[in-house]
Order: sequence, then C-alpha cells, then structure tokens
Amino acid sequence: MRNNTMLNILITGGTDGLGFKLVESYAKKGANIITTGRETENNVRQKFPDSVKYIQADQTNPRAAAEKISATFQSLNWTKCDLAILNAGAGYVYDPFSEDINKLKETLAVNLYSPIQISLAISPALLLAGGQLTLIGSVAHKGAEKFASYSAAKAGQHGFIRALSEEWRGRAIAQIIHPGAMMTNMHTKADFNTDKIRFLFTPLNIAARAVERQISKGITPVTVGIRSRIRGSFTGWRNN
Amino acid sequence: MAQRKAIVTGGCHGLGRALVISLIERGFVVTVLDCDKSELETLSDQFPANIVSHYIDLTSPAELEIVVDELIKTGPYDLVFLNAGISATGNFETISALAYEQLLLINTQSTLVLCAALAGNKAIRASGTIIFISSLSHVVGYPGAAVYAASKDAIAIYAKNIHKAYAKSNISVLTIFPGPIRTNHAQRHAPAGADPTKRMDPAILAVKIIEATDRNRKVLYPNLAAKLSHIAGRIAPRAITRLMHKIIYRNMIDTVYFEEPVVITNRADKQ
Repeated sequence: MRNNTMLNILITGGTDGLGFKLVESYAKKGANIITTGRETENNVRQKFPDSVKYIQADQTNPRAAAEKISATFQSLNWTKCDLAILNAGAGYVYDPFSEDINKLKETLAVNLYSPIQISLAISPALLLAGGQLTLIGSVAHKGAEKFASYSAAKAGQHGFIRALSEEWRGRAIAQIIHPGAMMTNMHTKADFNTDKIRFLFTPLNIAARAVERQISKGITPVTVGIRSRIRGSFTGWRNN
Repeated sequence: MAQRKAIVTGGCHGLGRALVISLIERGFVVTVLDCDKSELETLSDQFPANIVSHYIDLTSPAELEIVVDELIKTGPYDLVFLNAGISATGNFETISALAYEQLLLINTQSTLVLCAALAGNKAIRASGTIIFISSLSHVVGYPGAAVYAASKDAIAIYAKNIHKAYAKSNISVLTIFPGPIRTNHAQRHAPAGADPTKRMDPAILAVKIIEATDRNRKVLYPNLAAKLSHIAGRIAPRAITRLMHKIIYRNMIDTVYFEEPVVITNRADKQ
C-alpha cells in the first residue's frame, strides 16, 4: 500500500480518535475515502475535506450498517475496495457480575457482529481488488476483567481474522492490529476514569502513525503499543 | 439433600443430549432449552420426573428474554451448561449474512446473555458452576469456519474475564475446549473423507465435563489430542492455523454447509 493515490479506502468510525486520524492521513495522500460514524452527516460534515464521503452507519444494527456501506459502494461505483479499515468500536466498564444485558448486546453488535457483517458485505470488492481488510482490535483481546464483553468481542475479531487471513491467502490480505491504550475519547465514552493512568497512553498522532505503518506492512496479528510509543518519543512527540 | 438442578441449552442433540442423560443418571432435574420440539417431547416422555423443557429459538432475543425471566423464577440452579451452538462452514464470503447473524446470536449472544442474566439475578446457587462449551478452534484457528471460530473465541475469553468476579460469589466458571465430537453436527460440517471414529464420543465427553465441575476446574481440554493441540497452539499459533488450513479447509471447499434453512422452518412451525 505504498502509493495511496486513487485507492478506494473504507474507514469505519472516522469521526473521532484513531479513525479520524487515519481518514485525515489517507485523504492527504489522495485516496478516495468512505468513512462512517453514528453521527448524522450534518453534525460532522465540516470535519472532513470534500473528497471524503461520510455515511451514517450505526453499528448497533450490524446488518443495516453493512447494507448501508454496500449501497454507498454501489452508488459511488466502487466495484473494488483496496483497503478497508474496520475501526469503529465502543465499550463500557462495569463489574462483570452485574452486567447490563442491553449494553452487553450492544457491545457485541458494535464490536463483533458489525465488523463481520461489513467484511462480508464488502468482500467481493476486496477480493476483486486483491485488497486488504484490517480490523482494529485491542490488546484486551486476551482478556480484561472490567471490559468482559468488549474484550470477548475483540477476541472474536482476533479468531475471525486468524481464520480468514489463512482462507484469503494469495487472494487478499486480512489483518488485525491490536493497539494498546491511546489518548482518544473512547475511555471517557466508556465511563472509565483515566486521569491517573493517562500518562501511560500513547499520544494519538504517534499511535495513528504506528497503525498506518502496520497497515502498509500487512502482517497479522500485530500489537501496537509501547514500542511505537518509544519510537514516537524520538520522532514525533512534539506534534501532540 | 435438595434436588440438584441443571440447565442445558441445546440439550436435544449431540453433546447437549449426552449431558442431559448423564445429569439425569446423577439425579439432577434438567431444564432443557432447544428448538427441536419433537425431541423435547421425546425427552420429557422418557424422563417425566427429571425434564423441564423450554421450546425456544435462541436466535430470538425476545424469546430468550421471556425464558430467562422464567429461569430466574425457577432458580437457583447448580449447573448451567451453555452448550447450544451451530456452525457455518465453507468460504467466508459464500455464506449469507443471515446465517452469520443467527450463528452469532446462538453461539455467542445467547450464551453471554444467559450467563450474565442468571448470575446477575442470583439464579445460580453458591458453589454452582457455569460451563461454557468453546472449541478447540480457540487454540488452533479454524479456516473455513471463520465466524464460528470468532463466536467460540468470544465465549472463551468472556469466561476467562468473569472468572474472578464470579468466584467472589462462589460460582465457578468452567470452559471446555473440545475437538471434533461424534455428532450429526460434526458430520455435517466435516471435510469430505474425514474419519468419524476419530471424533470423541459425546457420552464420554459429557461424563468428563460433569466430573470436571465436581473438581472445580477452570478449563478442560478433554482428550490427549486437545491437550497436544493446546500446547502446539500456544507455541506456534500461526503455523498451527496454517496446518488446519491444509488438513481441513482444502478438503472442505466443496462442502459449504450452514443451518439457515433449519432455523427458518422451525420459526414457521412455531406459529
């Protein structure tokens, strides 16, 4: 993926955090981008350059979100998709012994069912392009007590890509990147107080650059964490 | 001593049925959740004093909610076997969105919802055990069943996550990682030419699982093949998935199979 000019790139969850950084970066390089989010288009349109197509696709309804993305591919005549970064995610913090059932279902829908349904919907375009599917997982995929169902969903993503990368070998790349904690709003959205540990989180610019580097390598599975943070402290610390 | 009570989801066939029979032999009253109405009736007729049956389509969150409320009222239970599962095998991109939706709703969502709802509402007895039936695919990967593998990885890690918190209420969480079991389910999803005698006998597996609940274990790799695969998967996760690809997926390309039609006819005859 060295030359990003005129590539067709899908990035889910592009209104904030890592997704937004990736949209910015690939847009600068001249790619055609479709990005998604929960917000209405009016609320977020001014965030993006005109070349970026934004669609509202709420992943609490996985199949509807996937169908919306398919429909947009069709309306823009995207028969090929070179790169799909399925980044959208959301989690909640709670004691696993008193988990709210509706939040559990929502966590699974957003973080597990949706990436699978979207992958399925765009697989013809990905395979036709010999493209790359990249899921943004989490270091929590091996287990995290306070994020029981979020972590379970991320484990599901991991197993999904583990199998799919083998299935698609030689035809298309399927990759999962597990970032460590980043300085995004995700933890605040999850009602998780991070004041005391926030200094441990990787600044977003550095994390985004590390993720992009891993996307261009296409190796799976890969963790982006402390190493990129150390490297970033030499090359780009001040940008934050 | 009070009568011990168990729940088995997907208790009409395969491993679920073997668990039901073994539990009844041990004197349990078993509540069975299944979508096979006639088999539920057969079981109830055979063991009228030991079976409570719930006819349910686990792909329906609404139906599950109703049954969960009843189970909470009729609890607490000693053992809860979250066993129900379906698969979808073939090239990832050749299987329908609906089939994947239903697979995830049964294998992952119904499992997690039942667990969280029963434990959260004190429907599991102190010193009781919740049993998750994951899959050996959690350690070896499963090319040709990517979404099935995802569904089983999710429940394995969920079980790991809740283990400590549940221990505070003296509830154990046990996760099983079985390889192929000699059931109709395995037969349908197996690659062409696979030898069924190499699959584990569900009756033997059921006994091992129930014995493991007595011993308060956290995970169970039920036979030597599973134990060895576990070690191999730990050492070389990528190589072992590639090996799975060679031995399973290449033989399976032509045998796309998923359970969509089964579930749909079931819905229809319910009305």
